[in-house]
Amino acid sequence: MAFLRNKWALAALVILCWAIASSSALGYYYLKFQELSNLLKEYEKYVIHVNICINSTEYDGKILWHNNTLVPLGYSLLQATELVASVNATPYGWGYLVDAINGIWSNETHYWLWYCWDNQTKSWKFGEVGADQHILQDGETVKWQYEESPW
Amino acid sequence: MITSNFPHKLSILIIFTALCLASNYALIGLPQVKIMDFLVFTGGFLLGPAYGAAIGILSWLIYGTINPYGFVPQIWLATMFSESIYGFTGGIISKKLFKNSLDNSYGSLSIFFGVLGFISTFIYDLITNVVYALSFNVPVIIAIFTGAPYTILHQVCNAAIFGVSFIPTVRALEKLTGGVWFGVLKK
Repeated sequence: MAFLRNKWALAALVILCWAIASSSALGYYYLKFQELSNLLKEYEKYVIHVNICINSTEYDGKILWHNNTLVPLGYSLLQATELVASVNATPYGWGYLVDAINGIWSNETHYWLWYCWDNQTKSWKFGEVGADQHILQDGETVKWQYEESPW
Repeated sequence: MITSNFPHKLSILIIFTALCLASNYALIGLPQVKIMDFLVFTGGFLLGPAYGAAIGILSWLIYGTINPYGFVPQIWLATMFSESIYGFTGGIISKKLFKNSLDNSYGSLSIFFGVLGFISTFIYDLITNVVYALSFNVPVIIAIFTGAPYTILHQVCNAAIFGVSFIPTVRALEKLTGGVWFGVLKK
């Protein structure tokens, strides 16, 4: 067969196979994308978007922002934080106390405290209840800060 | 067409059908990885398009009926006739392109048969997916693309099996039989 001696003919055949496979994969991922987009639209009324900041500058100089995080409606700050970070918390009568976030543990001098952004005063407002008791609102911005105990 | 070597060809056809069945049941745990397609193609290449198609049809006639994944008549008929594409293609290719022997370089032939395996598997998958869509009232495009991961795996596996195994298998069979019984190589 003469055409088998032509390298370009062989390359064209291989490229044809690649085109078939990649078109199939493209179609598959497009369908999946459509399916997930529709699912997201369907669930949009049951989810909210929040911005979560984890500030551990006093420990390792890092500030992590989880902007536009998708959270189920009715989730508490503690539940939302557990979605974006590894959290250790201890239950007390008044609520949960967060002991560690992302492996950074509270100690005798430093604690994890939370704040929420007040749009009216344009400042951080100290969280006065346990993180499990603060139910997040759509568009809310919250911050965990590793800081020296204010008490 | 009944010729003087018909009994020999018929025996080879039956052996290939048995091989297809045995290999399919043995590989039942590995979805989409089958050597049946390769065997049907090889059978067609050695015996001719009609015999090759018959190997495909006979294999699915049994494997489709006694199948642990269940029996759906429309799918069964579709796979039975789509499988014959491999045998038919093998027969046509050998008649039209390789009249005397496989005289090209090993690398080129491997690529060529790998591509042939890929394209015939693509046609097979396309037909079975369309029949599945029509049987279960699923939109054809959805049926084709939803099964893409499986069809790509099937096509790539067959391309690899055809590319790597076809030439050694045909050369070994040719050596074993002298090429005369099959009536294709070294006539």
